[in-house]
Amino acid sequence: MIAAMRPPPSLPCPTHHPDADLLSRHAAGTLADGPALVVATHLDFCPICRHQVRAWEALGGALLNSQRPVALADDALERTLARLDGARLEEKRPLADVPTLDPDPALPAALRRQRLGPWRFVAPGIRGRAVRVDPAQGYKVMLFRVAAGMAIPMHGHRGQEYTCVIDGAFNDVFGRFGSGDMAAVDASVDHQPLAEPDGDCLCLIAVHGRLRIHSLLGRLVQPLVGL
Amino acid sequence: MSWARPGDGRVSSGGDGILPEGRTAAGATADTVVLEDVHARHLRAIATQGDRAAFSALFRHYAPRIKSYLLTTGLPSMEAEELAQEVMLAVWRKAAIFDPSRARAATWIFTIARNLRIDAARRSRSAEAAVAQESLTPAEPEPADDLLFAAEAADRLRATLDTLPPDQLAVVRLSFFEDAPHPDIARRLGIPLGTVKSRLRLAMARLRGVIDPGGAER
Repeated sequence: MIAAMRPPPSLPCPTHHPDADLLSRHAAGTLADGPALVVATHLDFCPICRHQVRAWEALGGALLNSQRPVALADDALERTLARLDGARLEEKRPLADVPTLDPDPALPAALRRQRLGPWRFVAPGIRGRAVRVDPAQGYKVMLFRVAAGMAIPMHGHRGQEYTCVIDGAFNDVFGRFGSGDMAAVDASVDHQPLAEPDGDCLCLIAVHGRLRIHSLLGRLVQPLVGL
Repeated sequence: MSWARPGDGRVSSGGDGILPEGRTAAGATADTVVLEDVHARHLRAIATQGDRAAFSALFRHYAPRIKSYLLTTGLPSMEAEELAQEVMLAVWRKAAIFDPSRARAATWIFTIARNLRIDAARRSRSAEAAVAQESLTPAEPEPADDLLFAAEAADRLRATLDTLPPDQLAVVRLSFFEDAPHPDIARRLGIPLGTVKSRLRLAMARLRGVIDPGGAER
């Protein structure tokens, strides 16, 4: 069973995964948009976690089937049948045809389907693109490109924080995070991730509440990036 | 309230005929298997012939359960009624996309209901919140072993679910569908908080064992 879960050795597989709680909430659809997007980005990289999300979805199906039926209005079926004629049957289309909103091929599919703002200066060595999510849920989502060797401005946050590396790698007290690796840390953690010295690090970050940036420069630019 | 009486109206106590080794299918029947096959055939009939009788049969089974699920997630009755019909309309439109080797009919319909519920919640929060819902599902075609594993896990999961005591199932239902905080679950089921936690711990340990058998090694 364990062997069946391993991806083919040719594919690089992330080593830091979301926990079962996050995966089950993702499958149940109860995560806020920000964390859901970070988990979806990880899933684009990780066959192991895709397995598990499918399995949690199957739990959803089984629970749905065992749900106590609640009667609909008497004419509900009739009314729905009347609407079928206007409903076009969708063709089976290749997944590649799913519309993408962002043209950057370096981004994983989950992210290319989102509305992203333009690249903006955040701090020396750091640029960022805002990812539009519903602000009512309290999450800010940013795509950061951090120059080799620079600190990633995600330490000292007040709320829950979710990160997925898309390209390059960073290191912090929890280890090395490369492509597809995901980290979920809460407000008690004050960490200082550093991009590795041999290349830029591209990462997606969702933070609940405002991001606190420790450096003086960070404090100055914070109002500009709206974090 | 639908969530207050879990286990009522269950379609079947059957697994999918694939029970873990050494476990007898006590009380289990082949009903679920048959039902899933029938539902998959209905979906195919809709996709290939626009079969309205097949749709009606699916509607009678799923619409009341989808409405019940939507009520569980906290939707008001009128909205649950409307959205349940929208979900069934989407089932009609998307029937050609259903792939029985990839997911059971109930699982597939659950994901449609889940996605439309999230969309509806976004619309009710703000008019312009329109993040592409497809971010929730993996976009790339999956290798065959992925699919095989998922199907096997689904079967074993359902078998496990069928053996859970109803009081554990009630807690799992509220926790999974609604992500309800433990004190809420305690209040709604009228049981002590400690009982909620212990039931959830027991049930989730078993479900996780099925879903992520290698989890402890990572």
